[in-house]
Amino acid sequence: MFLAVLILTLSIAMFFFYIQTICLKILRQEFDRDYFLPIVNANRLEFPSVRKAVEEFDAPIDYARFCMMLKCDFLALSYLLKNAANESHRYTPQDRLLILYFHLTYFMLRLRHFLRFEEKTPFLRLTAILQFFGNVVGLRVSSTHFREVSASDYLLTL
Amino acid sequence: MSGITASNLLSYAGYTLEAGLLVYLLAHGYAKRLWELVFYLLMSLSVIGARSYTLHHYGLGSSQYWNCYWTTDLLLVLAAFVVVASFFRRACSENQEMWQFVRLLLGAVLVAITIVSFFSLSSHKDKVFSLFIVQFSQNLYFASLVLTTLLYLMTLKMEVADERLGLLVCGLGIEFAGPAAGLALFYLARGAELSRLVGVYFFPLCDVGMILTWFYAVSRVPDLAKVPRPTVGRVDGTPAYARGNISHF
Repeated sequence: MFLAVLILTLSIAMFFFYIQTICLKILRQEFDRDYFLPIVNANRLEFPSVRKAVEEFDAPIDYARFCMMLKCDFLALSYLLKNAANESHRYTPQDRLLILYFHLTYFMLRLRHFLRFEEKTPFLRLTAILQFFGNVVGLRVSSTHFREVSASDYLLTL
Repeated sequence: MSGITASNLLSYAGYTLEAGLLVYLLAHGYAKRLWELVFYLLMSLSVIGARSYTLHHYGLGSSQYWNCYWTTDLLLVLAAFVVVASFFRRACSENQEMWQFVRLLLGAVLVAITIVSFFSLSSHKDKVFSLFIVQFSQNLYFASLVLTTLLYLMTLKMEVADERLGLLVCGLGIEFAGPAAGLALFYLARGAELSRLVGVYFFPLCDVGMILTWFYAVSRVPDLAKVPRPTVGRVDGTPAYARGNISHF
């Protein structure tokens, strides 16, 4: 009985550890330039300002406002992932895994807030996921030929 | 959709992915460089074939199927152990002294598991061989899970730069950790609905998770020796890592 509980606990911990490691390895992908910047500008996304506020200023985190900003950015980017320059209008398995990871990290953020633990790490991780989504959308858009229409013009018409 | 149908669908998705990855590896010339993956996939597909044949000819309740199931299970766990050992070798490619030590450790683990499995069956002298196979494969399975974790920690400690190896190890970790947790839960919640759900959905999902991770590692992560240098301003010059995100119209 004790051994089974021990194996169960360790295995579940290892399972989530491996899932998280895979997600972090995907997020570490390097893009040759910042494809996310035009996407951020065209859609007035706010996660770069959240990251800047969390990283650079030593002030207390405005939890409710930052959560709302990240959630709105997530909704916008997940829509773009599915529909912008995506012929199949479907998420890839990689997108799905990272969307799941976003939800899990968001849940952990709420849990940490409830338990009054440090919130900086999950905030930064959420912004990293959103930046990755922005890079993927930007890369797709920049690789698509729209004749005379620029990437940001195309995004504004969506 | 009934649980059995869903389980079958997930299992067939796993088999299709395994066959697809095998074809991909062979078609792209990875057979030599990633021989351990080819070996494991070939073994897994052969096991599926052997089990299907026995099930079709002898039935689910037959002793032939029982023997076939557990013998092939042992072969599969041994194949996974070989994959773990080969990943250890890759991780120690620049440190031969460490590899000598790891090789000794892996041999000792295998011998220890054989001895422990044999002595734990001393009370069942009538069916020693068949029960030994079951016990041995279960012990080796859990040992492989622990060894995979050690391997991953070793790659972190030794700062192994091979990103692909890291992802391959993570895939293997999911394949070991998921079912180990499922089996423990199965044991603790005997007869409960939860344990049935674990068996129906979770085991095939872990298999699919491992194959997808391996697929990603092989197709999207560049070889350590062939990491491209980034070029600025051209989509053609995007890293191999990122290139797969492009949807071509």
